Amino acid sequence: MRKFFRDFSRDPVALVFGLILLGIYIVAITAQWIAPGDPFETNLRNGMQPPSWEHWFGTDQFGRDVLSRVILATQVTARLTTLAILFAVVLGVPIGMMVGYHGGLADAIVMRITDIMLIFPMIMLAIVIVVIAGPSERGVIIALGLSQLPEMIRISRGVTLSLKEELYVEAAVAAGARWPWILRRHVWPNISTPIIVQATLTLPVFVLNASALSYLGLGVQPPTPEWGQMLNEAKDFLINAPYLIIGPSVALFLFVLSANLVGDALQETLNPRTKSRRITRRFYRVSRKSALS
Amino acid sequence: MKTKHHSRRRAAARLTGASMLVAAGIVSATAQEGEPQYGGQLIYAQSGEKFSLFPGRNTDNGAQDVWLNACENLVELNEESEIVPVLAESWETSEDEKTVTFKLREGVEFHDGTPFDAEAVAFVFNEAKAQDFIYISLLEGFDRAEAVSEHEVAFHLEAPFAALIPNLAYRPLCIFSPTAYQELGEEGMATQIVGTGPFRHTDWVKGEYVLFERNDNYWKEGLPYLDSIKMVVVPDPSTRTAMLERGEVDRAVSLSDFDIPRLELNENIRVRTVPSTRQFYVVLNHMVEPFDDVLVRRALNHAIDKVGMVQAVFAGSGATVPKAPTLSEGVYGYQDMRQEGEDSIFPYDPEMAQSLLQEAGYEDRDGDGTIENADGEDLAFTLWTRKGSTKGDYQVAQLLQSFLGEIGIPIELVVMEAAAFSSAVSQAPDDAEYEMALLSWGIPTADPDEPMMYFTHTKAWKPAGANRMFFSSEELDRLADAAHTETDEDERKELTRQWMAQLLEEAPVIYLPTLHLSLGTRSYVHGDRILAVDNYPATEAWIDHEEMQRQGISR
Repeated sequence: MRKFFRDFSRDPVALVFGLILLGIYIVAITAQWIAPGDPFETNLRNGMQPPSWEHWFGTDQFGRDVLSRVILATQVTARLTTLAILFAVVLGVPIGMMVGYHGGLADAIVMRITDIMLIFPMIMLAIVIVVIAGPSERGVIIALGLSQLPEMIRISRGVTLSLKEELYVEAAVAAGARWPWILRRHVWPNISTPIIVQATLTLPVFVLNASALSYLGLGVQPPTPEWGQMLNEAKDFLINAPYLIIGPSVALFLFVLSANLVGDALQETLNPRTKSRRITRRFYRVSRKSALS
Repeated sequence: MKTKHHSRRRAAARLTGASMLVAAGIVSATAQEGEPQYGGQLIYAQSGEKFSLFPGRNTDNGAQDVWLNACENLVELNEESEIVPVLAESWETSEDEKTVTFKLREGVEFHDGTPFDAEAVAFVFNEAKAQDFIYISLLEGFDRAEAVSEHEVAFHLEAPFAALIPNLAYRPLCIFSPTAYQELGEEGMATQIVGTGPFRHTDWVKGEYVLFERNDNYWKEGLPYLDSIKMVVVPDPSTRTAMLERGEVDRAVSLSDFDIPRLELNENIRVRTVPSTRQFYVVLNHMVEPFDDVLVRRALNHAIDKVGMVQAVFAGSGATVPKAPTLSEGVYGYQDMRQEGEDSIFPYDPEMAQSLLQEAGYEDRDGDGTIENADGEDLAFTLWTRKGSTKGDYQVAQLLQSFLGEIGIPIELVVMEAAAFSSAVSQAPDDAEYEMALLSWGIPTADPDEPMMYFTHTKAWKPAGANRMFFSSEELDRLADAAHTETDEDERKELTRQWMAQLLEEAPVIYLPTLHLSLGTRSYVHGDRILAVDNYPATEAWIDHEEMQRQGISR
């Protein structure tokens, strides 16, 4: 663990953006307390004010403080992307481990289904799922989670598949260990690292896609603020009130950029140099590719 | 203005000859500079998709704007809200006022070659009655139509009714080809409109565009000037504005009020704004508790800051606060119904709203900021809306959510695509799934008879009319029926006033601001019109090709 931090802090870019990412999460957690105003309170006779000391990012069409809305939106985004990742991990990893370990018909069926899901671009899949689940925060979480599910299944299945051939697993089987125990004791510890890397690399994609869905009106519904939705509102006033677009775009930009850089740095740092962890290396490459696609 | 109204009113009411009205027609179209030029395609950006093009089943405003190119009425309402003869040349009323005989224009043909004659007109109206067309409550008292001779059709009425002529100007009552109707049926007519109009409907790609091509046999000599009109569906107002600025379209409606000052500075674009009769309102489904309670409905009305809404959504200039329920300035019999000192009807007063709710048995019992009923269940609703179909609709919906949230009624917004929305709010009571829905209501006949008979009347419950609230009031029905048959002008005005006063008592819907309409055109388009009823005819429109080229637009 100490080695991890040492490696990580040797990279100044990663360090800076790691701190920014940390800052974003602190803002997200403390949004209710640090927002300078009420993000929901309308003041119709005070709409579309340019930035001032009172309203750093100006006020929107309904006179709501944009800064407060950006801050609350940070919390919304952080919450729904985290939940979406958890959703994919909690559902995907057990499935992947199980089919990987047992193989057979179930394995074939699950893998064909994931293949089919991977054919579709992630955002398109998400749109279809949101339309079925209904446009809401829950809908976005399910959509993003499900769209990343095939990836999680494949990674955990792949690792499980290789580990199954390892001598110590075979020894455990010979000693009469049952499969749940083997998965927990021998497979899971080896999977956690690639999963963490994959999750970090997925984060910026999720942030962007959540915003895209909200921009399209399929995501978080008003009055709850969300960056994509705020951008959609601001675009109507791009010429009359250009300042409205600054807050949400800067926030979105910083979050995505820092999450990307931190993800890269994590991958580098966790990249195993020792022989015993060689098995997992292959999956970094796979996961990296898929996150970028 | 007043006297003008009066004279047309009297004429219409007594159903005397139309000769005096002929002069009033078609004046505005000639008030254009330059000699009209032939040819070219007009591309026109509309805001929403239509779920049906069959006039007998759709009174959606955007659809009227589509079929006015192809399908004509017996009479029409012009910019000055005067009745102008179109397919009827003149009309006469019998002594007992129970028969109105129309003399029809001769030598007119439908697009499919069917001759336009008395048989065709009689067929359309008799079919409307037999099949219960959506507008039938407007013809309350109409018995049957009969072809007297080849070009004379008689309307037999059970009782005289004053609004017959203005109601015949309502676009959905246009005369479609009986042959096409019998061949295609209602289903087929939903995607194709066959009438006598200046343009033939040739193509419809759902969600993208409607195409009209020149009718070479049009009865008005020398018209139309354009070869074709392409109506494209562009739901987003800022996209429409951008397309107009770039010259991708020649014409766009429902512009954002915040963009208008900028467009006015652009010398290649002409912006016209007119007050309309189009008023926003929230349908409350009275089949759903507690909207059957008048106290609740009044409370909701008082919870909305209409003045602030005009300021924030319409830049203070794109709409006016409602000064009377349903009727707006320009409608016959309209009166300012505000009490002294009020800035709008149902002035904004959240405390009053809460006390009215309390009186009705709804209050915040557990102190969580949300209002509950006697059983402790939260008062919470979903509000259906469209986005960009009528300017400001989505913003108005968000403000409704915010205002009702403030008095403790959480609202969930459901945004629907325009065609799906239209069809979902056109269901019979048992199938209607909405609790609240944001719509707007225009009065295309500029006559109160339409809203009285078609909007709040018990007989107008969907799917028959436009009473989507499933609202029923004996008193309002009585006033409407009385006004419908009343031929004395002052008496009818008085009944209209009483009707409005009663609406203020019963508050069947939530009343919201009245829109101003806007139409932006490239400056090389001449002769097109904007009507207060939210229709934008381009029958006499023509394109100055040289000017178009000078502006660097070639298609």
